[in-house]
Amino acid sequence: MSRTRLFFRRWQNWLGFLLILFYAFVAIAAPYLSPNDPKNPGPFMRVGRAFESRPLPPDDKAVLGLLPRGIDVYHALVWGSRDAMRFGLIVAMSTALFGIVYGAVSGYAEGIVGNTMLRIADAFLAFPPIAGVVFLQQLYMTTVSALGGFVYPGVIFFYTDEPVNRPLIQALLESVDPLMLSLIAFSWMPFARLVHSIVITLKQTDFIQAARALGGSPLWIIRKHILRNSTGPAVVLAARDVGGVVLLQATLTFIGIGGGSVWGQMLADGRNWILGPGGSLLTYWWVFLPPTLAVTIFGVAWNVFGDSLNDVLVPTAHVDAFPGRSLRKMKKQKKAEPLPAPGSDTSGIIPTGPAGSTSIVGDRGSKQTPVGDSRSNGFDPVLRAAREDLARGDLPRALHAYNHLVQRGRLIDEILPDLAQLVKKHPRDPRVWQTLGDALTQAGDSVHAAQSYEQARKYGN
Amino acid sequence: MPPFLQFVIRRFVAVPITLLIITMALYAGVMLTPPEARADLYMPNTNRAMTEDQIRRLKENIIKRYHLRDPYPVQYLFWARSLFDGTWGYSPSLNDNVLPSLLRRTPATLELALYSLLLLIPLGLVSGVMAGWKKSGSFDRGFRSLAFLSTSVPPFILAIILLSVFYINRNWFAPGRLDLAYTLELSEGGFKAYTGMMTIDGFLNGRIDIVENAFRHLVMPVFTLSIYHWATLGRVTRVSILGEERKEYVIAARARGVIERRIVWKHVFRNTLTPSLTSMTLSATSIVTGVFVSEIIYNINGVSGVIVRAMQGVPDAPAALGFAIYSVIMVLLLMFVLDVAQAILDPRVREGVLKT
Repeated sequence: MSRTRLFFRRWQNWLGFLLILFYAFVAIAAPYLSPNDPKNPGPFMRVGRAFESRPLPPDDKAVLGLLPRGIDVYHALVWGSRDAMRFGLIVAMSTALFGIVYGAVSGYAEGIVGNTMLRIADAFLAFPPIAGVVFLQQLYMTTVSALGGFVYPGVIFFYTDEPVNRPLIQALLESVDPLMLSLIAFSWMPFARLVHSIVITLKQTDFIQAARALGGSPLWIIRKHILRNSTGPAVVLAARDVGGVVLLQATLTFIGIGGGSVWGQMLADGRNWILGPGGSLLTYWWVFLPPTLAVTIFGVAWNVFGDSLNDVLVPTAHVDAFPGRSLRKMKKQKKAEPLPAPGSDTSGIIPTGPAGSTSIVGDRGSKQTPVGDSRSNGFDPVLRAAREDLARGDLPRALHAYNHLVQRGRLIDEILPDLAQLVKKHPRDPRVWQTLGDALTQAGDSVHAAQSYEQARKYGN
Repeated sequence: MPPFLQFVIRRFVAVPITLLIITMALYAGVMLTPPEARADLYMPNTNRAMTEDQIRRLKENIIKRYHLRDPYPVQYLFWARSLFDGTWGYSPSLNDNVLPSLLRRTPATLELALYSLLLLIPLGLVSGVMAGWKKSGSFDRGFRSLAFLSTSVPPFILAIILLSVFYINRNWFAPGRLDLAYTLELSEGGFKAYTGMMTIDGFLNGRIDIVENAFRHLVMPVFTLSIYHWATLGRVTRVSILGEERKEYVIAARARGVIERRIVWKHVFRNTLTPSLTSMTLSATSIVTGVFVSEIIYNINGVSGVIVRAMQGVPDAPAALGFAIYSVIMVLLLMFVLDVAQAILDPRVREGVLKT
């Protein structure tokens, strides 16, 4: 809940989100916004005359005018956003998925395997995607011509032989866009690096150690704990990728390297009318402006959206911008826990607690607790151990376990009631007060935390 | 051995290793095709009058000679060895061997990349530092909006706008490398090519008019290429400088009475170089891609010229493969240069304190 509220606190976040919603709406509703012509489907619908080489201005038949050869601008624009959305999402999601899994495995493996995997990822960082597109497409064309197929000089290639023993590359490229393939193949590395570093940090945390000690298999741990904890930053990266990938696709299509972006193709088709006659970019504005704005705003929207996700999903990013937690959560907590009687003088200054209490701002690894973790169902091994210790009457051990959880900011909502009970039982124990203070600090309730620390100091002497 | 040299050597050793990995991956891609298609990589300049039958026999020979039906490692080794013969295969669309035509086109690409980097790195660093030091000041606000604008407009759209305004309407700048008159003059001889870069060769030949003309043709591609990366670099620099004002060394320098300008440029700036240059290293591929895109849009016959014809429908695997390897080498060298620059500028690397 608080994340959603956090997200909608800034107008920029609204902007990116609404723009993407708009594009998504256009993409989904494309068949209703601009029905396909059954005789000539696809984004480039011919409305005017095919031999008309001039782009005709908007009229009542074509709302946004025509490109050369009578292509409807509005239709291409609408279907282009479906195309862009699909392309961007598929590429970003597959890239992220592969990168995350790769990074998780390499980070978990460590040793020679992990290092080799990292080295390979670094090597891939040196490969420009433009070369990948060219390479894959040429492989395809070479295959077709080597097997006696017919290569059409232009964009399309035909394959005439009976597809008896189709080589893999042909099957691959007939179903997948080569640009898509090479973008996936050559842009997963940032994800892998990111997740790798997160995993290295995470591995030292207690809950992974505990999961290991409980006999969890590596795959289970990666799937259950590590992947969940590293999705936040990866999602941010992926959101930014969507825009970037679509821009690259449009760029490559525009310069004729392939890619098949509708918007890019629109600009490429109208290029001579944008640059050539008329003397101004805006003489034939309906050729230039619609695809330009569509592609530019698409990129901006995803970038802004990525930034706003960054505020929400990467815990360290928003600490400065949004101190504390949302009001609602604090109210809930106030009701939930019976608080200790306030000490006689409560100075407004929050005492600096021992080591862990400052870790609200703390390191990225420990704060990356899963979303549902703060209200877990009692299955957390450390919490269970703490409660068992408590039941046996072993207060120091229990407190040690609680401290671990508190310092890592985990399960605070469950710990607070426990500690409140403990404080009732041991009202003169400074260690209990100290732990409670730390937990309250973690929960963002600095006033009560200060009071607990005050109690701890009082009984400590 | 001094630590700086150690660092440089270690980085240089990484270049062939990376190249090995990339070529292995590329050849794994080639393995997806049938052997007949793979034979194209080794095809000589065949006479057009050859019959289908002759061509088939020739291919059969090549398949046998280069073991194209054998398992991947064997094939890879044969192919890797063939890279050292200096041709990189014959490209039908260029009607020439691949490596010589790549090398012949290198100066044009290098010139473009060089001027862009010379422009964008200092500008990016300086504007990032200035923006970050006075956070939310007027310069910072201006910088942030300009950076946002320049990363928002896709390079090819910027290119369209520039071409329309400055070439077609104003005719201040022009695409291509030189005016047609100069190109013709150059093809007649008498102009000695030392480096192949027009701006430098013009000087060496004492032809200032050619230098001026070459620069007039470079303005738009260099601007298109650098503005995006300028914004990215500036942002990274700005972020890394943000908290720096409150650091103890700055306070100490202030207490000693060091003047503000000296604090910024002598102390703080040095500290922010490492993250900035690292971010440049990581975007090296996108810079190289940008160079190719600029070349194609502005009609500069650089390295990307090797693939332009091939992409119009002539099947040409050697050119594509050669282009891929060549651009990887370009990226690696760019990364290496940036690494070394970082090592020169970062005292921790220079003195061997920081193990990287």
